[in-house]
Amino acid sequence: MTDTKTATPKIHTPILCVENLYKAFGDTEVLRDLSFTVASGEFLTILGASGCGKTTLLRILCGLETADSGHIRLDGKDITDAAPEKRPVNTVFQSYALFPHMTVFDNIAYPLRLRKIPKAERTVRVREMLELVQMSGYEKRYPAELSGGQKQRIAIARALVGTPKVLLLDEPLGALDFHLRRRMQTELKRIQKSLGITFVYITHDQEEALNMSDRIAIMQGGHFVQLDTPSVIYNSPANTDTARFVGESNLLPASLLSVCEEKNTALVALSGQRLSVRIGSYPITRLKQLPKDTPVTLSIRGETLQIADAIPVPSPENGICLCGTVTETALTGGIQRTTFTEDSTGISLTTARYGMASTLSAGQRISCILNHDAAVLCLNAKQNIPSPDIQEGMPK
Amino acid sequence: MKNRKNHRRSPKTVAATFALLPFYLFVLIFVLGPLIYMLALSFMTRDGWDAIGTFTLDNYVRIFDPVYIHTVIESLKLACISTALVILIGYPFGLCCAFLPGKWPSFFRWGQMLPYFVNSLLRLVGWIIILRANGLLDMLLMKLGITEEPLRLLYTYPAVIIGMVYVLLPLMFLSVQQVALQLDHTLIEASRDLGAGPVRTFFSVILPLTLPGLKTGILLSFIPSMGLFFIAAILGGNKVVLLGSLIEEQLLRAHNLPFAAALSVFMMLLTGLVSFLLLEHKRKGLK
Repeated sequence: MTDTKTATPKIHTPILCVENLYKAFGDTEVLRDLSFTVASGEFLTILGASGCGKTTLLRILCGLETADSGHIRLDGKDITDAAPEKRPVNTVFQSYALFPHMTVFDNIAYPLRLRKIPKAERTVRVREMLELVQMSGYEKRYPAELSGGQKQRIAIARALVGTPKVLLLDEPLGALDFHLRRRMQTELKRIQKSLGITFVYITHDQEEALNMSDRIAIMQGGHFVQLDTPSVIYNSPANTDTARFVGESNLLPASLLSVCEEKNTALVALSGQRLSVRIGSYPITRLKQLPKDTPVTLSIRGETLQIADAIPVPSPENGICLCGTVTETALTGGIQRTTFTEDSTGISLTTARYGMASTLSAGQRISCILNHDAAVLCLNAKQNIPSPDIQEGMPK
Repeated sequence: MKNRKNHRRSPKTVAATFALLPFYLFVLIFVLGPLIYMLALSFMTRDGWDAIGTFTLDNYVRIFDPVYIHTVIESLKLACISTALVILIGYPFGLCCAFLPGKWPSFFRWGQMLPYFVNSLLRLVGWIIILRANGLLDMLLMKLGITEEPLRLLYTYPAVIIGMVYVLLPLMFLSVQQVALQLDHTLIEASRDLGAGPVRTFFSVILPLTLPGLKTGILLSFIPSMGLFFIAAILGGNKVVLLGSLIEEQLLRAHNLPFAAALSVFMMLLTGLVSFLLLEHKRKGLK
């Protein structure tokens, strides 16, 4: 199911251990035997579509919801049944949840006041936090006088001032506009690095996940489909859903010819040509059991399909050639996407390359080169999920 | 530049001003007029059943006569006690009802408003049946073995307080529930998450944010409680005399119009002062 063994967090001391967490609302299973560990100082992103159970997981971690079974250990201590105020875990809420009747200063000082920290120290620490989130001078403002991005910074400062062991963030950038979101991503990463606090970040935005995380957990139907570094997630998606969810992916059927275990590659037949592909996250034991000519799915990233400007002579050592007719071209933000229908399979493929100069138009013939080991084997989403009767889009 | 734009009157504003004219006239004739008349009356001299226009301050001086000032103090005391009880019962009740799931808050809201469909005098007569010697309450308490003798609550001070609380409670309940329903529950969650226990969260977050509703409730209970003379009359058997009862007595029985007017002006100033103190505080607090 989840292969944590390939994960390589930079610091290896685990701070948060979640074991067999289970939660159901009525008949709806929201979390199914979820287990994972977060290393100290790590930035873990839980990425999933809405309704996959990620918000419930976060609420259980901060104590606002109780799990039906399972354990949560924080820094060695079992906090499964601890009240939210007794956990050294703080949350940045999606709606910011700043106290409207308190000034920025009082909002940030709130956790310190609760701990009866003397006023002088309180002032110093609030100042430090405001500096960290670049909001110095806003002490006397009320939340209603702040913009969305400013509220966000104050919410982060308030959650961090008490130096929690783990900071939980529930889609904190969801309400911000594109540019602000980009800036806040960099900011968050900077803050996390400078404080060394473990972040558990929840989002449905794959770009955020890829940008900031040390590791990403892809959540689907109440459990993690894949938990790994962004590059592994991107290059070797666990299943077809993951491939589609993170980045853009072309999924192509091929048939298996042989497995080369030493090189971690497999030979497949694709539109009558032989192609070497990476095995990626596909379980190798299962792969070896498959008979010859079993249909398998390949995930091909758009940028690995290179448009050949002249009709190429496909050299079998380098890769294969896929030909087709262009159906659509699009220019988005410096990336040029060309969609074409592949001749032998009739499947639509999309290539992506930088640059805005397109000479192609619909109806034109196109040939693309796909190098060996650029594509990766991909489990079908349904094969990956332990329970056969999984419904799509689990309700929250 | 910006100012000029704001000051220019669009045809719409002019039309709106004219549309409001009947309303202004109504207020002038039926609200402001009687008030001015009453104010004038309070400085006049009594002349049998009528008042003559000789200016005097005697009516106001008379309020501070020990007999009357005693009633004023008693009336204030009763208003304070009933308002305090209304707060103690109505605030937690209104707050808790707002936190109930689904349709429950609106169920309780309707429950609180239902008695208003019946004339308030009739409802008070109902209380006579409950509170009178060997009435429903006495019977119930004796059956349950809580008391051995009838309490004979009717026509006593507690009976008046029960009546007051009964009449004023829905006003507190509704204004508290209204504000509590708008309370963002993530703020409570955020407070818990940041390390505050339930009690601390109540005093730091819930109470300050529902304070406007509580203050409205206090105003709505305190102001009428000074003048609800018919409660004192029906349940107190005229043994409990309120400022409102005094005005009623001076107006309808003693026919001392100028003194009744002076008492009314005095009561208005008193309740106005309370409102001012509450609202002034409100302005400083929440943004």
